[in-house]
Amino acid sequence: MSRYLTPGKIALLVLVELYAESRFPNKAVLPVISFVIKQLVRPKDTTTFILGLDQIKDVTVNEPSTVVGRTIFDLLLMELWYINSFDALHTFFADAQIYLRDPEKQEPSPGHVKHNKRRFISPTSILGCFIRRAGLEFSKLQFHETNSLWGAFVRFREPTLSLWKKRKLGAGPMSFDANLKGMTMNDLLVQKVYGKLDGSKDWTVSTDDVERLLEYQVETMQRLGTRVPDETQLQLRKMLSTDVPISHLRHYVNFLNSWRSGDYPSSFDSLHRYFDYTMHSRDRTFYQYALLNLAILQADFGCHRESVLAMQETINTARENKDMACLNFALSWLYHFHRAHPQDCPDVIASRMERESLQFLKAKAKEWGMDHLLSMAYLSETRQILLGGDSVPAAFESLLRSSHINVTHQIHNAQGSQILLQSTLWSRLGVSQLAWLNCELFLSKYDNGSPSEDLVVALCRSAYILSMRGRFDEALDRLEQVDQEALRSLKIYQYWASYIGLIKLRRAVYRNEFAAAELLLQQLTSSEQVEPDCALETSIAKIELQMRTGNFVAAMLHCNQVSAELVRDRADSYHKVRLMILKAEIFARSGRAMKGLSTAISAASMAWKARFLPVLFYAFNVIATILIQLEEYNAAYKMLDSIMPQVLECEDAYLTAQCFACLADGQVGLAGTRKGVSRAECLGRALGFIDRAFSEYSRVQDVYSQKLMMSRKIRIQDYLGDKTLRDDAVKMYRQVEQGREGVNPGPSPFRH
Amino acid sequence: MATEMPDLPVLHAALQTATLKCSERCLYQGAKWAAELLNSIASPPSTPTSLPPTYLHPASKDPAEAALEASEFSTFLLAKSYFDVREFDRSSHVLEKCRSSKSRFIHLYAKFLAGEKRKEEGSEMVLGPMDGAATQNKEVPAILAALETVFADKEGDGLDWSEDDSFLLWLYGVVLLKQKNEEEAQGALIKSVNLYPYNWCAWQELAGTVGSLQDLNNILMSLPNSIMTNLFVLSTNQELYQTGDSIHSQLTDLLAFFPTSTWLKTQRALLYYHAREFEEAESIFDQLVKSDPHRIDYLDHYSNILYVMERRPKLGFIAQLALTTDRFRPETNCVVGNYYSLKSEHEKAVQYFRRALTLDKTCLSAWTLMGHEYVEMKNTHAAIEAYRRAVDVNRKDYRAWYGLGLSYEVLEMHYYALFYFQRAAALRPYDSQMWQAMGQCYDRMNRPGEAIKSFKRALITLNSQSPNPDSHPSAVGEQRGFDPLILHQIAVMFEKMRQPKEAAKWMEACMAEEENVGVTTTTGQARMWLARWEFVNQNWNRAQELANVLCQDGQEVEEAKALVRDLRSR
Repeated sequence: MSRYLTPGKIALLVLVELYAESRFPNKAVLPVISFVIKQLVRPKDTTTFILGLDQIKDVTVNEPSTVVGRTIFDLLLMELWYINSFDALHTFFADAQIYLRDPEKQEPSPGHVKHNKRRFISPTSILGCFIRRAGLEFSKLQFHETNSLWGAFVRFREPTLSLWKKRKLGAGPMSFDANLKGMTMNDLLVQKVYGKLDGSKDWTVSTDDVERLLEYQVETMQRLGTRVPDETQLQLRKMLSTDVPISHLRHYVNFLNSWRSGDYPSSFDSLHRYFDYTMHSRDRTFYQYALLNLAILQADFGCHRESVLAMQETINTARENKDMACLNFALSWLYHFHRAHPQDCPDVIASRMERESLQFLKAKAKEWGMDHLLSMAYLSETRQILLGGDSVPAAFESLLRSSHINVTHQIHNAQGSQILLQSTLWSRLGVSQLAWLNCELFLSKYDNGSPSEDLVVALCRSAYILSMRGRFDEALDRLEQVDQEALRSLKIYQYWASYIGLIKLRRAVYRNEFAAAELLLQQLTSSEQVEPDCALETSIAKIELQMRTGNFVAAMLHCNQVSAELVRDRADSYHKVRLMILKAEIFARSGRAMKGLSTAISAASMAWKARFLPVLFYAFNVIATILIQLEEYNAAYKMLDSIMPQVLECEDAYLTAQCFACLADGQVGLAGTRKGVSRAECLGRALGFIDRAFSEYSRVQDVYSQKLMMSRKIRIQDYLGDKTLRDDAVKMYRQVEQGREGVNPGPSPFRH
Repeated sequence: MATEMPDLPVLHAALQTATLKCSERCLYQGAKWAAELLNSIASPPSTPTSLPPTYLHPASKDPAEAALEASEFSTFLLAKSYFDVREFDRSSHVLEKCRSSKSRFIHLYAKFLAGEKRKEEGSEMVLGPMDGAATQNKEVPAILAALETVFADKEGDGLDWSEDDSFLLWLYGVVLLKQKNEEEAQGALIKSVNLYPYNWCAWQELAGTVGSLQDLNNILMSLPNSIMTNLFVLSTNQELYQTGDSIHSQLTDLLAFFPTSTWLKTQRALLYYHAREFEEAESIFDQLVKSDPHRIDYLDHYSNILYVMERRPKLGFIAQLALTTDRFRPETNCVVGNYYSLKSEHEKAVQYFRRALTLDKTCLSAWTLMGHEYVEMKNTHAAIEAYRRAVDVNRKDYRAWYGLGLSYEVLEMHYYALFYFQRAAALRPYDSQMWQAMGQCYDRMNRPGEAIKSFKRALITLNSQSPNPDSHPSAVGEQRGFDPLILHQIAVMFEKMRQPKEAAKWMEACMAEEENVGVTTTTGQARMWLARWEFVNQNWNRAQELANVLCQDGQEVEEAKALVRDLRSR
C-alpha cells in the first residue's frame, strides 16, 4: 500500500529534474511539462490515474533534448537506470530537494558545478509542491515501505532494459542493482531479495491516485448527475486489486452510483457507511452534510415527509455550526421543495417559507458571495412570477439577471436551468420557434459540462415541441439520440421514458387508436415517480381520449379532480387555465354550450392577463365553437379571424386545425344567413378553411377529423353541385380511410 | 588448551543427541546451534539405514530415572505441547507433581519464562519509567528455592549427579545470574558443562560471567576435556577482543573439523573486525550471506562493519535482505537503524533501535547503537541511559563504556568520564583511542602527569612493533608510525608541567612524523612551537630555518612572518 509515491511518480520527478537542469530545449518544455502537470493537478479526464512508462514514452520519445542525438526519453531512461541501488533511491530523493533552492542566493559550492545551469523551481509552484511532497512522503516511509517502493520501481523499469543495453555497454540483466555485480538471477541471494517481485502489483497504485479518481468521479457525478461509467469502474477495480487501502470516498461514490440507479437501500447504506468512516478523520463535523444528503436522497425516493424533517435538522445543525454555505443551500432547497410539494410540508415549514422567502435567500446569497445560489434565486423568482401569472417583463428581468451572473461568473451548470426556463417563457408567449431554438441551442452549445438531467429535459422539451407540430416520428427520432450514459440514471430515464410515452400517447389519441392509447396511459400512470409537468400532460391527454371516446362524464370527473389538485398545490396558473378551458370544451362538446361559455370566457380573461397566449387562443377557439353552437356565426368568425396569424405562429398543429375547422363552421353558418352570391362566397371560403384544416389534421394524423373535414367538403360540394370536385373529395375520403388501415400511415399525402 | 580432538563418529552422535535433548527441553537456540554444528562436520559417518529408537526420545542413562521418565511420558508430552504454543503457566502447572529430572526442568523453565514474559509486559516501553531494574522476574525466588531443595535432596540422598541434572544446573545458573550472584552462577554453570558439555546454552551463560582474560584463565582448568571447551574458549576470546595469531590458529584447527560452520566463520570475521581489518571481515560475511541468504544471525555485526567502512549501498542492500527474511527480528532492526544512522537520519535510526529493543531487551548492539544516536542528537542523558543499559546487559562492550565516558565529558563531568574510559581501556588495552580519551580527560582535570602516561600508552597500538614509549622520545621518533597528534599532546603536557626541554623533544618527534604522514596542522603547530623555542633559546639560525618553512605554507603564516621579522631585527 502506498500513500503517494509510485514508480510513475519517480519517473515524473526525473522529468522535473531534467527540466530543472535545462536539459530540455525550449520546444520540448511545453508538451512534456504540461504532461507532467496534468498528472499532478486535478484531473480533467480519466486518463491520468495509472501512469505507465508507455504513457511517458509516448510524450517524450519524439522530443529531442539538448544532448545531440538523444531524445528526452533517452535521458529519462539514463536517469532511471542511474538509480542503481536501494541506497541510490534515497540519494535521488534527497538530491531532488536541491532544485527548490535559489541558485542566486546559494554560494556556489565547488563540487556542484553542473548546478550552475539549473533552473530555480519555486517551492510554491506546482512542480515545487510536487518535489516537496515527494520528499516528504519519502521520508515518511518506513523502511519496509521504502523497500516495496524500490521493488515496484525495479519492476516498473525492467521493460526498458533492452533499450538501456543499447545505450550502455555492459548493462546486463543484473544491472538493476549495483550490489548484485557478478551474480546471476539464479543465485540464492538474488532469489531471496528480488525473487518475490515478479508479478507482484504492490505499490503500482497509490492511495493518492485512487482518491484522485474517486474525487474526480464524485465531482463528475455531482456536476452532471450521471452514474459511474463502466470504463471508470473497471479502472477502479484494477486499482483496488493492487492492495491499495480503500479510501472512504469509495463509499460516497457507491452512494451516488446507487442513488442514481434508483437503488434506495444500498444508497442509504453507503451514505451511512461513508459518514461513519469519515466522522473521525476530519476535524470539521460533517453532520449537516450527512443530513443534507440524506434529505435529498429521501426526497428523491419520494419520502417527502422524512426528507423535510431531515432538512430541518440540517438547517438547525448548520446554524449551530455557523456553516453558511450549507445553511443557504438547505434553505434554498427547502424553498424549492416547498414550492414543488406544498402538501408534504408541515405548516411550520410552510409558514416559515412564506416569511423567509426568496428575498431572504437573495440577500443571503449576495452577502456570502454565493453566485450560484444567487443565480438560482433569480431563476426561482422568474419561476414564481410565471407561476403566479404576473408581469412578463418582470420575469424577463429576473431571467436576464440570472443569465448575467451565469455569464460573468462562469457558472456552467446553472446555464441549463436558465435556458430551459427561457424556453418555457417563450412557449407561453406562443413563440414556439424561439422556444425550440432555445432548447436546441442549449443542446448543441452547452452539452459539455452541463448536468445530464438538464440536457435530457431540453431534449424532451424540444422533441415535444416537434410533436406539437405534428412531426411525431422526427420527435421520437430526436429522443432516441439521447446520450445512453445519461439514461443509466433512473430519474433521468424515467423522465425520458415518460416523454416518449407521452408523445406516443398523443399520437395514438389523434389517430383514434384507443386500445394503444389505453395501454400507454396505463403505463404512464402506473409509475409513481413522474415529473409534475409530465403527469399533467398525461392527464390532459387522458381527458382528450375520454372526450374522443364520448365518455364526457368520466372526462369531466377527471378534469375536476386534476384542477382540484392543482388548486391544492397552488400550482402554475397556466395549467389551471388550461384545465378550465378543457372543462369548457367538454361542456361545448357535450352540447351544454351555455354552461361552458362563462368558464371559457373567464379562462380567456385570465390567460390574457397573464399573457398565456397559446392558452388564450385555445380559449378563443372554444368560445368560437360555443358561439357557433349558439348560432352567433359572425362573432365567432370575426373573433377567430383576427387571431389567426398569431395562432399560426404558435405552430400547434392541432390548435391550428381546430381553428380552421371552426372558421369553416362559421362561414358555413354565415352562408345559412345569406343568399345568392354571398352564400356561395361564404361556402367557397369555408371550403378553403376546410382544406387548410384538413392539411393540419393530416399533420397530426388525426384521421377522424380528416374524414370529418372531407365529409363536410363533400356536403358543401354536393350543395354547390360540383360533381367532379365532389367525387374528388369522396376519393380522398376513401384514401384517408385506406391509409388508416395501412401498416405505416406516415405523413398524409394531402399535406400540401 | 590442549584438549583432544574427539573421534568424528562419536562427536557426530553426541551432537545429534545434544540437538534432540535441547529441543526436547525447549532450549531452541541451543538445539539450533548444535544442529548447525552437526551439519557442518567435514565427513559425516555413513548414514545408518534406520534410526535407533533412542533418537526419538533420548532417555536417561540412569535406569531409575528412565523408568520415571517413562511413567510421566504422557504428562510430559502434554506439557511440552503447551510449552510449544507458549502457554508457559499451563505447561508448568501440568508438571507440578512430576519427579523426573526432565519434567522438573520443563516445569521450572516454563515458570521462569512465564515470569520473563510478565516482566516484559510490565516494563512497558523502552526507556520508560517501568523499564529496567524497576521490573523484575517475580518467579525467580520460587525457582531458586525449588532448585535448591532438589539439589539438597540429591546431596542428602547421596545420589550421583547425572547428565540430566546438567540442565537443572544450567537453569540454576541462569536464575542466579538474574540475581547478579555471579560467582555461584559460574560454579553452577561449570558443574553443568562438566556433566554435559554439549549444551551450548550453558556455555553461553558461562561466557557471560567471564569479564576478563584473567577470569577465563581462572576457570580454564575446571572445564571438561571436550571440543566444546575449545569452541567456548574461542568465542570467549573473541568476545574479549583477543585477536592474536594463536586464536586464529585455534580457529583454523576447529574449522578443519567443521569446515562449513557458519558460526565459526562468523567468529573469524568478528576477530578481523575487532582487529579493525574490515576488508577481510567484509569478504567473509559476503560469502556467508551468499551461501545462506536466509540467515539473520550476526547480520547486525556485518552492518557495523559496513557502517565503519561507509559502504552505504551495500548496507542498504543488507538491510533489504534482512527485511525480506524477517521484519521482526532485533538484528533486522539494528541493520536498518545502522543504515539510517549512516544517512544521518538519527530520528529514524533511534526508532528502529527502539523497535529492536522492544523485540529483545537484551539486544546489546541495539542499546549501544541507540546510545550513539542519542549522542548525535545531543540528547546526552538518554544516551547515558542507553549506554548504561548496554553495559548492564554485557559488561564486555567497550564501545558502551567509551560512549558513557564521552557523554560525561560532554556534560563536563570528567571524573565520571575517567572511570568509564578506564573500563573501556581495560577491555581494549591496545586501542589508542581509549587511552587518548583518558589522557585528554586527565588533561582537563589538570593532572598532566597521568595524562602523559595515558598518551604514552596510546602510542602502543596493536599493529606497531611496540617500542617502549618511556624511552627517550628521539628513540620513539626513530620508530616511525606514531600519531603526531598524540606526540604533540604529550609535548603540550610537558609544557604545562613546565618542562620545556622534554616538551621540545616531543615536539621534535612530532615534527619528524611529517616524513610519514606529511605536513598536517599538528606538525605545523609543533614547528611553530619549536621555532619560538629556538628563538627564546637564541638559536637564531634554526629558528629562522623553521620559520621560513612555515612561511611557505602552513596555517600560521602570519605568526611565522612576524617571527621572521623579529629575527631580522636581531
